[in-house]
Amino acid sequence: MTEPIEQYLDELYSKLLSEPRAARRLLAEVEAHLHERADALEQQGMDRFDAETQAVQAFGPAAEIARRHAPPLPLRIARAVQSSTMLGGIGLVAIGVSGGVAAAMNALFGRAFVGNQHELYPFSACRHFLAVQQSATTCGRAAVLENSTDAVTLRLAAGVVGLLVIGAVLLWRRVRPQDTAPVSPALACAAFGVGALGLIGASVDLAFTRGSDGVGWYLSGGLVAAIACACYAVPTARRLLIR
Amino acid sequence: MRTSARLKGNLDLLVLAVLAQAPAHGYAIIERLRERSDGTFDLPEGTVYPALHQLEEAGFVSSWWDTTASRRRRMYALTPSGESQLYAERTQWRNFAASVQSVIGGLA
Repeated sequence: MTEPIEQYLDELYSKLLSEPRAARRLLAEVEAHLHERADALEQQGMDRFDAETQAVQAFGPAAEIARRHAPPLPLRIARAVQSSTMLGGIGLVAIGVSGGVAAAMNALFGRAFVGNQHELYPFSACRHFLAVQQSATTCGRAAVLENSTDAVTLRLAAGVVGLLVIGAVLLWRRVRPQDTAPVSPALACAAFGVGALGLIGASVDLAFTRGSDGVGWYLSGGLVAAIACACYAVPTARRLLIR
Repeated sequence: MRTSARLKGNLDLLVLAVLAQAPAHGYAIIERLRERSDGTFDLPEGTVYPALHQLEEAGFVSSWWDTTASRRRRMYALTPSGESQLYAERTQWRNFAASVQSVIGGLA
């Protein structure tokens, strides 16, 4: 037979939007209250199940209690913004790491593995590539060198920006602890998972249609996104299994 | 309008007034509200907790866990700031009630 108070507490827990400490405290108070009411009804001659059912009914719908206990809208918005900003910062750091992977690929597999974009460049672009990459003698080679360098430097720059964003969020949390909201592992896992699928899919497609040249451009990002997805998949799976 | 709907806007005042007598936990506050209103204020019992938490955030009540009873309970007490708030809200309510009475009194 189900226990009405336990069932009610489960429902309330699933609906609460409050921060963990406030939610735990409310649940502890509600549990004590409901048992106290049920005990009183039981002493009046009611059986335990009916006493718990009546105590729960008198307490009010869980959704209503959760709604009243929810933080005010501006605070919820601030938390959503902070959480999204943090996820954006982590995403930029992942792009920076993919720059490091691209650098390793440049060294291990040659610059064409990352830098060959299979494009026909207009004259003005060729002139730019040849001016920047003075060791190259052809436009194609200069483009490969330029692209493979950009894959490293521009991504590393994005990573530095990501670190600054994360630093700003950590500072925000210190200044206004009430705005603190963790990044949802499920959301992060989904975001990195979609990125990993797209990038690894593009690199596989390229490998089949044009060979290994240029594959590293996508694969470097795809590998990092897949690892990030796996890191967030562990807490996500743990939560799902516990529930 | 149902009594519970009327009460929603005045729950803070009622809770503060109950706590002005003595510190209490949520269950006891509900019981006292019911007793003092002869059963008229029969709120959904759970609504008192979000109200108490908001009053505490505003600094009008303080709270602590009481572990002396067989069941652990969160006790609430009025702070000096809560006493001032109660005084202000009481005055506002009396003025409002007097105005309403002066309007509807003749129609009874």
